[in-house]
Amino acid sequence: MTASDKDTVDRDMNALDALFVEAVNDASTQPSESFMARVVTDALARQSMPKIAPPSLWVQITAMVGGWQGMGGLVAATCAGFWIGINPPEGLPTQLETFLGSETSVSLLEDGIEDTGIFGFGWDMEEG
Amino acid sequence: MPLDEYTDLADDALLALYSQGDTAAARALTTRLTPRVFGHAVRVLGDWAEAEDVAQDAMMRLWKVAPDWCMGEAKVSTWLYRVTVNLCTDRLRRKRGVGMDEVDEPLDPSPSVTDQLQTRERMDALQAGLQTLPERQRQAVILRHIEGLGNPEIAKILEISTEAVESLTARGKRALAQALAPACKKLGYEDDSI
Repeated sequence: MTASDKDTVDRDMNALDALFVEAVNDASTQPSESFMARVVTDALARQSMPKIAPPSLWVQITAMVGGWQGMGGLVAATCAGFWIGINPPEGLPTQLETFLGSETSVSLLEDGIEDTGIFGFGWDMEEG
Repeated sequence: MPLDEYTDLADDALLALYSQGDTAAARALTTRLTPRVFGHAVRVLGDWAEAEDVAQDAMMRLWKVAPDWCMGEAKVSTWLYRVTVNLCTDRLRRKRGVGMDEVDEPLDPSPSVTDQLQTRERMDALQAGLQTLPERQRQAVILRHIEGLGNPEIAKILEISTEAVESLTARGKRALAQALAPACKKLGYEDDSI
């Protein structure tokens, strides 16, 4: 780039900077009064709209299980299961055995080992 | 009553007041922010009616987001500029039917650009010159040199790095100077003393 070219570039850049300064104060890019009034109207209209509060945690949980009907069913099933657990009906074990076909038992000790009072891999666990 | 009676309050504080139902805060925010987003939209789009649509839409989004605004987390004006930039981009894409990345490098200034000059015409020439820039360069140059924002803030608005902003504004300014160079005499800037 020759010195003359550089001068030209500098002049163009300076001219552009001066244009930018003018543009900052350019009134033609200012919004009209009527437009500003429209924006304020929007703002006030939005402000006066009723606010919708986010649903509470309880409402969200209830909605997850299907509303009040779902929640009612869930509570009833929980109560019934709890009641059957602590007070099973008379015929329930027999019916289960019939259903499974046989009684199942599990022995935790190997066959042939008698309860000698010595456990723990041969260590005498008795006190004294 | 003055339009902006909360001159000492930051934008986010005003927004909090607005969401609590303060009507003066609504007016103050409108007075402060609308000219900025409208000015940017006008420069980018080159169309006053479209700029009004964009500015109104951007401000409406601000009113909507006000109740959920987290104080101190982001600058209101930065957020609003970002919304405006994106709305302008959408409009330009719809108008052109091409993606932003597909926009070519700056076009040569057309005779119509360089011929439409005189005092009032200087601004028109600048506007016409801006329209020759690719959209991203145009947005960056306007934000930097006309809106007067710093590179870090522009980076947040355009969601690019500060280095990319520097590159965009430098290339944009060079291209703009080149586009307007033939018009310097008519613009009244032929004197080196400027």
